[in-house]
Amino acid sequence: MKKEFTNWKILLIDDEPKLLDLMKDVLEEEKYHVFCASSGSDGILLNEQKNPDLILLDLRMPEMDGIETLRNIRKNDDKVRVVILTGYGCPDTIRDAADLNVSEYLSKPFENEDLVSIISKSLEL
Amino acid sequence: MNDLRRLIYVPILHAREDSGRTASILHGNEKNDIKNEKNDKELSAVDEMWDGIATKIGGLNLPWNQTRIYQDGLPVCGNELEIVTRHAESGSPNFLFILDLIQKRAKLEGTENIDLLIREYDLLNKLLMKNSNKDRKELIAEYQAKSRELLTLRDEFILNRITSTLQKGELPIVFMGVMHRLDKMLEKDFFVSYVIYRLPFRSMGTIYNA
Repeated sequence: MKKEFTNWKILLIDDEPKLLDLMKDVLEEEKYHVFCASSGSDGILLNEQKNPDLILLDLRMPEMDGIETLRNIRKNDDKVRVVILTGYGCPDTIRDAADLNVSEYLSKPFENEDLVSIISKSLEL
Repeated sequence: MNDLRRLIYVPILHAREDSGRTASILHGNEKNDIKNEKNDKELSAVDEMWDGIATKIGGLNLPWNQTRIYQDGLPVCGNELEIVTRHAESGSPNFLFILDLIQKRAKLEGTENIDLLIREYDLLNKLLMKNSNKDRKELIAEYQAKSRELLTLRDEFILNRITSTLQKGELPIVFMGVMHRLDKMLEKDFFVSYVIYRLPFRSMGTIYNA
């Protein structure tokens, strides 16, 4: 039986185009509605326009990093669930992320199935 | 030349059942511990976090017989192994993992000042018992403000404990709650390698990780 699209909307914010495309494919396969932003400022704008249920946010981005992006998002949106993705995790960014009420902090590399599972659980909570 | 010693630092989230249990064991009132209502999602998140940590640490191929373990919440009291065992027997993935490392010949070290731990436990217990109807955010903010000073004192004690107990040639591995700032203190004396897989904040709640 063909799987129907869910009502969940997910916003991906990452400056790496290949990773963005890969995650988009994986999540669309799971029938999520996916929007992509390749910078923090685009992500802030798309969050306002699309009102997603969950944001997947890369920490290390040029110009505006993930924490700064999330600080801006939280000024107007304290509800959206956020999963932080990072290849360079350290306690400083973990504490910042916790202060900004993230759902999950996930270190790269990760398996696609782990990402799908974490998103699914974050949306259910 | 940079000759800093290497240290493995593992930031962790505390499971609800772990928070305060050590202090309650020391108090002798373990059965009257903070009421814990675990749900399947929380248990699953805790297990997955520790599975990820175990996999990452396993991949490091550490020399376990030359590794010394420092654990958040484990007091210097002479009964360290007993405390770890009791936590592990009650199903704590954190302490089950520590026990596994001990079985691989890693050395366990008492890490925290017992008086500070008891003060921390009393503070958390008091807030949870007396303010059960307060807004969650307000409760966390109140706890954070009061525990900040205690946390600094705890971190200073732990830093001293690590530098004074670590033997020549040994590798320290430190399991520490994310809100500790011990990492900043350690970076002056050690080359710190962080082991992080996932930290499921939402699933595990925040007051125990404040």
